Amino acid sequence: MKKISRNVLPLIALMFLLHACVEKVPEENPINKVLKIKELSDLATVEYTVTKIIKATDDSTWYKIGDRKILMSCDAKIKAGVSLSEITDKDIVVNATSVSLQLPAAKILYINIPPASVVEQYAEIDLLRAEYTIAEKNAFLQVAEKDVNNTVKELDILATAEKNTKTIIESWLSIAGFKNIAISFKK
Amino acid sequence: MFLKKIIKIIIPVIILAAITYAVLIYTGIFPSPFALIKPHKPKVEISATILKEVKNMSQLLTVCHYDEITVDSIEAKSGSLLKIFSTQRKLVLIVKGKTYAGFDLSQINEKSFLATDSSVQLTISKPKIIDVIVNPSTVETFIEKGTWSVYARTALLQEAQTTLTNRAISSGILARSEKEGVKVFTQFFKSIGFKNVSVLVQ
Repeated sequence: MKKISRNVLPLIALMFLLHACVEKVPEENPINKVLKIKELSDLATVEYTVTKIIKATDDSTWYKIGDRKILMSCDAKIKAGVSLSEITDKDIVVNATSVSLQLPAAKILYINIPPASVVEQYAEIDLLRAEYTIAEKNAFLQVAEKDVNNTVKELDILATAEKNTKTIIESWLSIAGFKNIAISFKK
Repeated sequence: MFLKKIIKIIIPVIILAAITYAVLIYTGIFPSPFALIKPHKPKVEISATILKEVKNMSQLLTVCHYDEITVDSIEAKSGSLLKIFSTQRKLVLIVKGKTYAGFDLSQINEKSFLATDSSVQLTISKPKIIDVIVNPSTVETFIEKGTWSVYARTALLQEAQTTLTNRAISSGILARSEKEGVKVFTQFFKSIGFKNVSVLVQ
């Protein structure tokens, strides 16, 4: 029994060691599934492009020698418009060549931060400090994204979207033969 | 006897040092042993929003396709036997993306409409992929070994955008978008009084 364990145990240990050295790289991506398809009827009428500058510093602790600073920038594209699916029969009054249409209030359809717009402007990492990781840089960009979400109301994008929507719908109705067109927006 | 004397001196010194260290940690002057190991959160400042461009448009978005994929960038294996000495660089990202499809209506003009008293015929161009959105909040770094630049991240996310587009197209997003577009225009023109509405997609 002792002899067997003396011969087998090192072999098992070697197998575990070799197994640990083999990199497991999946051939196929593990997460490859469609989550959802959503139907929309959103009329996008304006897109604002804004720029954000992100500044990160990591020198607030005295016991970590050296500093690491990074300056990044990114663009965010904000699209706004109206949802045509929210128009009901009550919102439309037609009388011969006159039409009165009450459209839903404009809304932000989505915010898009294109990956190509992300630029590392400047980075200074002291000798004893580690480089910023991609996870850290992504976390900084998430802060910027949150900031865009919070400050989007300060832009007059919704007013511009309503103005453009009015022009577009008026032109369609005019071409369709209506002469008196009145368009308003719900509050 | 000698040992007893030493213990008598050392123990109070150790206790005094421990109390002093605890006070310094409590007051924040000295870091705790855990703080030395724990990664420190850098200070992040975001600039005010700078408006770069205003683009007027006319797009009808009819379908949004939600998807989740992984993208990776792996460098060739090093010859090292032991994992601990491996210099292999690896970056694996999990990306949740949204693909929007719809119609570009900026080309609609008088020639696109053919209207009589009760009928209207509208001609619009075929739907297309409008935007593929992979925002930082929907990107997760799953594995990161070695140092990677922002450009590597950009390249991987652009690869993800291409994959998301292809997957959305193969799942039939454009056919569905066309169907939805026809439905939206038909409903809209019927609601403003046209009895016969015909939407041609060319």
